[in-house]
Order: sequence, then C-alpha cells, then structure tokens
Amino acid sequence: MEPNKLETQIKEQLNAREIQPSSLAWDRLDAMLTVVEEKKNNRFHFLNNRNIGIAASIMIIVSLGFFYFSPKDVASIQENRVVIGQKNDSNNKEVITNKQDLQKIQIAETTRHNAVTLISKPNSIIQKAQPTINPIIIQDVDIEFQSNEVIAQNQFPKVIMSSQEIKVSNSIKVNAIDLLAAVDKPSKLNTSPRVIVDTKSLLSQVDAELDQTFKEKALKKITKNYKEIKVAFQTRNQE
Amino acid sequence: MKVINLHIAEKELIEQAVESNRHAQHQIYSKFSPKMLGVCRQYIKDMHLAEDVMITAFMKAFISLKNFKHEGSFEGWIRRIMVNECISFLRVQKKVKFLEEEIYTEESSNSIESQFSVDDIQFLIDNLPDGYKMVFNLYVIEGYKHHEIAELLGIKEGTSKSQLSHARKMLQNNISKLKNYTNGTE
Repeated sequence: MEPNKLETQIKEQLNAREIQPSSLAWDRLDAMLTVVEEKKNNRFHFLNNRNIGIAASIMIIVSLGFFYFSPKDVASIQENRVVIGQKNDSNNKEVITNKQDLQKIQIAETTRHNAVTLISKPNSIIQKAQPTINPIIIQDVDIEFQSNEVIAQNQFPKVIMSSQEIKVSNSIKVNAIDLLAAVDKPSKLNTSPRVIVDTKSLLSQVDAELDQTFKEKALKKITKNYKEIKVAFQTRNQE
Repeated sequence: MKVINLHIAEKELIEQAVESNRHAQHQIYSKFSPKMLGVCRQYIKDMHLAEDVMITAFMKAFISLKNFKHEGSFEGWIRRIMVNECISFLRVQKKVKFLEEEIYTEESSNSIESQFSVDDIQFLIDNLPDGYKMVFNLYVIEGYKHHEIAELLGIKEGTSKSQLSHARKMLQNNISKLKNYTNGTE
C-alpha cells in the first residue's frame, strides 16, 4: 500500500504550502513565553527557599537531638540518700544523709565544666550546671556526709570524693573541707529562712477550729431553745 | 560554503533561543511559522484553532529546545511537535473516533490522476472523517509507518490500515465527484 501518484502529489503540494499566521500570533506567543519563564523563575526561587527551609529544619532537628541525647551524667538521689555516680557498685556509691528530711536531691554533673549541682527540689528536675568559678552549688545547707568517703564515679570524668579530698580523673582536686565549708556557707538562693509548713496539718487544724465553733454555736442554740421551752412549759403548768 | 554558513546561523540561532533570547525565538518563529501553520491546518479545519495549536506547539518547542541535539533537521523536529500537538488537541476535543475494525482491502494503484490546487486538496481532506483524515495525514503526508501510527494514536496496527483504506476510498470518491462537478457532468 505505497502512496500512489495522487498521494505523492497531495504530499508535495501540502508540504510546499505556507499559510501566514495573523500578526497577533507572535504577540500571543511572546506573552505565553513570558508567563512560562516567570513561572519557571518563581519555581526555582521557591525551590531555593524550600531547600533553605529544609536545611534549617534539619539543623534544628539535629541541634535538638544533640541537646536531648547528648550524654548527661545525672545521678539521682533518693530519699535521704545521695548517690553520686551512675554505677551502682557498692564500693563506688556513697550515701549522704540529710538532716532535714529532704525528699529528693538530684545531682546533675556536666563533664564539660566539671561542675556538680545539688538540688533540693522535691520534684525530679535536672538542672545543668553553669560554668562558674565555684562549680559546686548546694542549696540545702544541712547536708552532711554520713561516711568519711564519697566517691562519685561517672563515665566521663571520674570523680572520687573522700573525707580529705575529691579526686577527679582529669586531675581536678577538690578539698572536702572546702566543700563542706561551701556547704556551710549560706548560698544566695537561700537568703530567706526555711519555713516548713505542713499543709495537711494546717488544714486539719483549721477544720477542727471550724468544727469547734460550729458545735459551740449549735450547743448554745439548743440550750437556749431548751430553756425557752422549759420556761414556756413551766408558765403553762402554773396557769 | 553559503549552505554551511546558513546551517551555522541556524545553530547559533537555536543556541540563542535556548537562552530565552526573544529576538532569536522571533526569528525562528518567523522562519517556520507559515509552514507549521500549514501542517496544523491539515489536521484542524478551523484556521483560528489551527493557529492556536501552532502557537502552543511553538511554545512547547521553545521550552524543550535544549533537548534538540542538532542531529536531524530542525524543521522536522518542529514539525513533529506540531503534529503531536494537533493530535493532542483533537483527542481533547474528542473529535477522533476509530472504529476497531481490522478488515482492509488492498487499494489498486491505478488511481485517478489529476491536477488539483492545494485548496482543492485541503477541501477533499477536510471532508474526511477525523479518524480517516488523521491516519491519512500521518501515513501519506508525514510518512509514518502503520505501527508508528498505531503507537502514536493508541490503536491497533490493523485499525490504522483499515482507516487508511477507508480514507483512500472516500478520497477517490470525493475526487471523482469533484472532477465531475468541475467538468459540469453532474
């Protein structure tokens, strides 16, 4: 089914044909091309912005991850007991007895600054130690070491505390006497005297007082009414 | 030497047009638009619609001009874009319907020979149904093979052959009628 002569003629004639487009055709094409180019530029701009946004979000996520998952040497102190160090080895952990029945004490130790913070808040809030000249902040004054030796052992700087001195593996020595002296010193945070208010007992006391006054009033009223009734009966009987 | 210079000129023009040089694009448009409008007119009866399709096809050609590798004819490359755009337009308009029949007859080669003007030829082609016209144009004018037409239009190869067969028959009848009409016999 090859093209016949007529078809060849049709092909030649149609291929040679030229139709002049209208004068507005180029203007329309020009406008369309302009729109397309603008869109293209906007899209690239958007892509750039999006890339920047993605990069920023990745940075934020990475920094947050680093912040939260960075190795922290946190030692928790249970009721009346202060355990310094992550390992529960009986030789390495030591106990500090608090005289004033502190509910919880937590120690957060940062390896960078070799600082130890003792917090007396009952809730388990972990505070990061700030790089200060005196890296030991003890809020509760009345903390005394039960034994002669406190050994704080962590993964990073190995801290060994004894009655004489606290040895840190990266050759930082802390004198225990100075430490105790620092403990004895009233810190800036403890300027106000500590007042322990037992809310439960206070409430029960107030309730008891209220109950008493109510009972007294009720008894007074009853006795008064009784007397009035008694007088009324007596007068009626006399009549 | 002159031909080489012209070729280089066209290549440079294309390279400038790739860089969104509007002057170069306008030169390319001015050079090829009359022929391309003729191509679009083969497929689309309405001249305004044919011009719209041509403009859209030129826009697509300029956008994808960077893909042209200077291996074949640039005119042929643009022409293909025009043809594809015309087919897409007719598909969107849902004007093309192909009857899935694969029965076709071999045409006799002793067809009517006559001299017709381009307008007459266009008139005869315009009177073909869109399916016949499309296959006829692709096969006869553009030189596509049946399997290429089948792939392009999403039809079977046999359907393409049968469409061409019907188109030829109808065209010959119309030519006879036109000849009789011009001779004043009818």
